[in-house]
Amino acid sequence: MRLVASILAMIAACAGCRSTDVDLAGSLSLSDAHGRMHQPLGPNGQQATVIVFIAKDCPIANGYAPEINRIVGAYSGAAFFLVYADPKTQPDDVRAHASQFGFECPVLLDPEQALVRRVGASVTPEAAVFDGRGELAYRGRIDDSYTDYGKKRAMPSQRDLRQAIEAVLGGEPVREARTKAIGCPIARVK
Amino acid sequence: MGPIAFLTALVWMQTGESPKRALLSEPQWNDVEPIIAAHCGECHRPGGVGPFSLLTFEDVKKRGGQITAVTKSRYMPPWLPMHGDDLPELVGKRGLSNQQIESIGAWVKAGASEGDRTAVAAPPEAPAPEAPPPNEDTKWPLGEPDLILKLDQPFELQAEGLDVVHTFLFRNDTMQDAFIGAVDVRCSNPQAIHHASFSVDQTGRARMLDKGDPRPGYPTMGDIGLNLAASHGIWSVGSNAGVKREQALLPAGVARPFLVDSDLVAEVHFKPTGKVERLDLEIGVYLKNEQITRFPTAITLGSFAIDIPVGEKSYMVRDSFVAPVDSQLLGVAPRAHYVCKKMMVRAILPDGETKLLLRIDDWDFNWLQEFRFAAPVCLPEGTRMEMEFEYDNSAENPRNPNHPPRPVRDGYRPTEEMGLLFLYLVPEQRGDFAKLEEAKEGKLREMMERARKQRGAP
Repeated sequence: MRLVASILAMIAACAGCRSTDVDLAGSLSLSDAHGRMHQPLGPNGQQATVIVFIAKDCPIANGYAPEINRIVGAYSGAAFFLVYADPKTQPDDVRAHASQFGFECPVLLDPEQALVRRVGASVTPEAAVFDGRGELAYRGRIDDSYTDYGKKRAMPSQRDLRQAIEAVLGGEPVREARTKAIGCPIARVK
Repeated sequence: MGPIAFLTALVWMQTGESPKRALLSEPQWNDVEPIIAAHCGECHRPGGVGPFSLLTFEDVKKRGGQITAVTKSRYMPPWLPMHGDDLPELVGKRGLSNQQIESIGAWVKAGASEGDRTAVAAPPEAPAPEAPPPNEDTKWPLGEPDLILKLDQPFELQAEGLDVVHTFLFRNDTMQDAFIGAVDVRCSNPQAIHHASFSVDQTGRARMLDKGDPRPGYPTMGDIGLNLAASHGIWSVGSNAGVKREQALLPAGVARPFLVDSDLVAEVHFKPTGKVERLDLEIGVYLKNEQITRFPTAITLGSFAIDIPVGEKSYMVRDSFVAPVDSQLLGVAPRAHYVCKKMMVRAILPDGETKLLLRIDDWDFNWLQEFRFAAPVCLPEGTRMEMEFEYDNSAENPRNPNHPPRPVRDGYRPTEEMGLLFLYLVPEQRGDFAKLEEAKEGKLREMMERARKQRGAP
């Protein structure tokens, strides 16, 4: 069994080497609430691509909306996508939710959770930053406001997502490339 | 080992006792469903105060990981007081047993399947009927109120921040004195509201403050005077969920007065939700029609001079009050913010017996509420009520709102602290009401005097 698993892993790894990351990623197309297709991981000419997984009924993700909007407005050198991690989310829900919370970047549906799996997101809100070569440079929390469910600071002491975006835009490594996000766990369909 | 023995061993491994037993004891949806329905469904239902519904199998399966995490940490169902044989029973008590928490966790871990429940219990087209929500027609868990007080225009709540406190007035313009047995609150977005403390103003001062602010009501942050605003009790989100009307009402013959032309003052704590909210607020008032013989007196204990240095992990606020007459304690309401960690309230009876009344080991301002005893606690004259609150102003306190910690002083802002306990007392003899009111005033003067001395002011 273990042998089979390692062989499979090797094949998978080789596949990853052969078709470049950009190709693999570029094949991932997701629709926004208006039916337009986006390739969030495809080459977009930006130095950084930021993806934030959200949910329409997660109070923690909703509470972050103003900070998400500020971040989207602050970094013109990055491409932003908000992705609804619940595969059952409908375009109507997305349109209503995005307009209520004032989201101004593309909001995507992920009905197969392909992007959720690709990024390895486990909760909402959870952010990922890809660099210009399509490498996952950061995955984790937006900031450290929450230390646990119901335990929230008045002000965050560390703004991890902003730091990661600034590092990637500056061509530097992200100091803490993985952090633990606190939020509503994403139920995986597969 | 011969081939036969090997084969037998293999077969035993496939079908042997232990895996089978493990399978049998694995919790099924059948086991988990009643736990969720009884302990979560009161608030987590469509139109309920919880942020999402947990009424169906799909709802619960989708949030399995979250439910496991929040029940294990005992964040949900929200209930702060400790349970125990030595503690009196409280109205609306919530909580799961260790075994129930383990069942939920094990069911989720095993894949959260519905099992063969539908095949065994009922045909799929007729799923087991869910208990109808209480008074769904009115959306008031205690039934249709006698009086519904509304804002004349929506209140606009900012999108973010820790806490917003705003005070609203509702005049008794019914041309007759009203006697309140219970209150409930409905907000157009229950996610945005946290709790409301009630009092009654007959002086017109609240009305003046209201006139000074163009919005409905007026902001209360830092305002004093009317801010000991819990004389008429505290309502909090979900505090009436699953509570019967007769449990929610004050005991027979007891009510809180709301006289003609006075104002019911509601100091409401809101929680920003991430978007600007335009909130409608309704106060449901349940009146008493019987002969009222006694009014409750809200006695305040605690400190008005909290001053906690940075890093102090065990700052104590202690105070006491001696019952001047034979009284009944209907309930208590502690008031503290985020730096407070633990609370204890006890009664030392005249014969020396100590009765523990409330113990909270992990205080959470988000679940501030009034705790009412299922049966009033008798306090004979001379009973000494003691309160003890403990605060942790170190960086290790995960709820510390200041990061890095700052000195925390007394105040109404959520980054400041409070250390107050309201005791809701009624006299055994109706003639003793004045003595209790006198004792209340005396206690308040003593606390203010003590605060002046602690602050070193002349």
